[in-house]
Amino acid sequence: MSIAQQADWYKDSIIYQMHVRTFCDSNGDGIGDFRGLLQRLDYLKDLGVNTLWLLPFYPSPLRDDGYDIADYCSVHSSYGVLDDFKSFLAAAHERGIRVVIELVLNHTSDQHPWFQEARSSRDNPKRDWYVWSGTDDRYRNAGIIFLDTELSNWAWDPISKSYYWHRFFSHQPDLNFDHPEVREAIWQVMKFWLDIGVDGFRLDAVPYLVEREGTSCENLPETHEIIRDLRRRLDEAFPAKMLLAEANQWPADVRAYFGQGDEFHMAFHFPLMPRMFMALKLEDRKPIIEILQRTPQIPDTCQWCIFLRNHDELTLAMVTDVERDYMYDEYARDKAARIYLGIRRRLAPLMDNDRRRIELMNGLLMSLPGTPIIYYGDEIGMGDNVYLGDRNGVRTPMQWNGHWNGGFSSADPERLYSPLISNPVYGYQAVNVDSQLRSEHSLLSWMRKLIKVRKSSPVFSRGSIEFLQPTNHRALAYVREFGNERALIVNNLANSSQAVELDLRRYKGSIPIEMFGGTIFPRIGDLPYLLTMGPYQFYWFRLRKI
Amino acid sequence: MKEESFLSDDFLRQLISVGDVDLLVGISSHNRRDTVRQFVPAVEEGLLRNFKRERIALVHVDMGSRDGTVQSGPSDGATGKYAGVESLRTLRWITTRSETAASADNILRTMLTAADLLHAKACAVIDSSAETGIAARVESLLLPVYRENYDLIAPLYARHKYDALLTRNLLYPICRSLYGQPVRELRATEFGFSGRLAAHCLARDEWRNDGWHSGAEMWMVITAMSNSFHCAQTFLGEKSHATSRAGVVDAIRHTVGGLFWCLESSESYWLKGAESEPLRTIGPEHQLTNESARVERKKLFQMYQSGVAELSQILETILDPETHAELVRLAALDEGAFRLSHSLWVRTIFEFAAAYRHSVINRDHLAQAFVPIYRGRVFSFLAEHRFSDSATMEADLESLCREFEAQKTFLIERWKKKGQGAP
Repeated sequence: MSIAQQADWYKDSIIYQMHVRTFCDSNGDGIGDFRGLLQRLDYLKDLGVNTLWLLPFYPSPLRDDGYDIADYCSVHSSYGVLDDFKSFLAAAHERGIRVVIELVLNHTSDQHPWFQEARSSRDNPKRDWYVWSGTDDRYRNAGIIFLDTELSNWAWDPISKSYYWHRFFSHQPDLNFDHPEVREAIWQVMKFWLDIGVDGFRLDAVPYLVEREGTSCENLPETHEIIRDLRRRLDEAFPAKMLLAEANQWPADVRAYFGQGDEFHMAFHFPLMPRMFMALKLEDRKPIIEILQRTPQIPDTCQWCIFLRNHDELTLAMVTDVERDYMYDEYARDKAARIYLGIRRRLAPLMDNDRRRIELMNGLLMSLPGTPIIYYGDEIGMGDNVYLGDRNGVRTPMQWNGHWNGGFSSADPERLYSPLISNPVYGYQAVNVDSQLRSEHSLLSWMRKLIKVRKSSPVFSRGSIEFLQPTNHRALAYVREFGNERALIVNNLANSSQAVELDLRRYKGSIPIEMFGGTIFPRIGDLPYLLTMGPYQFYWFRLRKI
Repeated sequence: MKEESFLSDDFLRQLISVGDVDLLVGISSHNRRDTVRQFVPAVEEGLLRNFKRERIALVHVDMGSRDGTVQSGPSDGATGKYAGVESLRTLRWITTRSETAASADNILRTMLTAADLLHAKACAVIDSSAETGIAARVESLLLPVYRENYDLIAPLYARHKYDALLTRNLLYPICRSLYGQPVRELRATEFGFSGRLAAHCLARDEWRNDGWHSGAEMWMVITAMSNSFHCAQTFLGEKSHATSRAGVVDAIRHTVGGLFWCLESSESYWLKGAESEPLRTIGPEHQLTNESARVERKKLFQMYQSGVAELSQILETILDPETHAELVRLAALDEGAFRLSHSLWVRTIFEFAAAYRHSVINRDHLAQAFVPIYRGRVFSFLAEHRFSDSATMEADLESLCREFEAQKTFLIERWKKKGQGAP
């Protein structure tokens, strides 16, 4: 199988997000690597995902989990060498799997040679590649992001005796995108990886590229200009590649990053994610419908990316105070699970390991508009460890089997980059790929089926959505439509059986065919269409005119 | 068959679509198109100030409005927002209407049924004729039930000193003496209650008794008190005075008949002689105000005189000869000399109650025969308290309560005596 060159392939993607370090260790050093990942590509192909999103794998002092890049054009030695990456990429493409890599534009590590040069002398040619000041009182309207650790966005450099600007950690100096050489250098970085064959970039922290006095230094017009410039170069030199924006903002603010279809191809829909969790706990469709109704239209060539969980905390930045309190009370009563402005848990523990709820959440992920992202391990219901510090509890080794180190590595357990989850409920002995492959009814087998059904119709990846308004507010029902295809989705958000009456008169005459089993349901007529649904049950129907 | 048809299909369909709730609020309306628009947001405000997370349904029971109240009233999927505060959940409205003017007992039964089927934890019924403090009423009635596990919250009001005379002369003192709890408003149109109490009430058989239709609200309070449910009362401010659709005679007959039926249905409790218990009052105490009010006292006395004369034969069958004779003697007095004392008033009530218990005459006729006696008592009360301040009136009420307490044994004896009517 090869990669088809459809320009908007990302609309049909099912993305699997993972860190190479966590997946499979081929050389027994306790750290996952590209050779190990290559060995597991068939697993991903069988799962049905068609795009991998790799977290940063560059050389780095790893003071921010690789988001502090010390060399943009190489591979961290723990994960292999560049040729290993190339081999992995080719093998992925052979299996019809595209690869999207992480690129941190806004800042580098303070160990990056660019910064080392810049700080070495005020006269160094790379001095202005970063943002310097003699005082620490410029750009005061810009907020501090890591309030737990940083007191200021300025840090004192004892070598060049001046302050440098950093919106994130003080060891991550911001690049100065007003400098043309910086823009060119970043393009050259992108070109380097595109020439190797990567299919796209997930660009980190894009709202913060440019600083202007008297502003919040976020989402500035100059930032959009930079993005447009990169996109123009990309389209000219590498058609059918993709840019994905990380901008944890309200949809109306993120909308600007799609531009007129000339900035990002995709962007994360951050506010939807907590509202899916909230809707489930509230047993009420209101949060989901409200946020999607507040979501602006985007250009035809663009697409939202939606997700349940990722490598960070379940961010509650895009909810109200009342909603945040509710989420904490319902999903993180144990304060150890709270970090920054969110919750550091994986999907299965958040769902109390309730299979029905895990399935419903994944059903929502796969049927709401947008390209879905599965976080590695969630397809088998992996657990977490909130006591590992920071967000490391959701970044533990992949659990392949019930043997030594869960099949992740042959190293001594003490040498692993992170301890495995080992408790009786979520531990690798109980939750692992091999055991779930042996059962047709495992979560993994069910996920494979779910993805297969999702991929069976373009309505899910490309269709419009129209919400139905059954009087039972525990039911979330919508119709996805693309061309001549229609799918009716009905979700019971409640922990109890529900009767749902749907007004489907506009589809009168259609026959609903349940998409997982192919079961034919009664033809739609003039009367309200009655469905009885078990707790957390959902239906996907193809509506056929026969 | 009656039991099967109590819930209309449409109402049941709405209940199904709402599902389990934490809070249920009931309002009734009758030709209130102009006020319901203000009333609805005020109810939502009261809910959203305190219950942003809870599952809430509001039941609007329209009693045969012909002025478009239902169309002007709330609709499902109401805003759920107030002053920037928003409910996390969908605020649900259930509307049910009767083509005829439904009675209070049906409204109560509707609410209890909804509470039971939706597994509501706390419920409140709000008087839709209230014009001010509506949001506060919602809070006052729901919060103690939802947060403090009370089962029944009765209202307290600021009332004019001539207001609610049947309540102050009969319902309050008799409740206090027989059931041991000083519930000021035994027959209230607003109250809070728990899902537990709703389920308990619905499980009982009294619904099928005709007497229940007259005393439903009182029965609920009495059921709570006599079954060890956790009760309190809360101050709600001024009592609204909606125009009653029933005439005075009907209202008195209805209340007295309902009260006596309640005594009968709960006799196993109060016949044992309930010990007096303190009742928690939330917020300010009951208040009496002193604005002037015009009362036609002279007519009241005349109606007492004519009533006692015209109903003499009936009263003879109900009352002891001495009691009857004393009422007749008083009727002959000049209005300036007329006083119906606490002692005679209480004795008369208890004899009426016992006669009701033993069905010495048709119960409805018996209740109606009480009307002139009540008018005489009101005339006496007004004359006595024409210039009284609220402290004086409160002291007098305390004295009346003691009289009820003192004669309780008499009631118990008369009540228990089989075949006992007037000698």
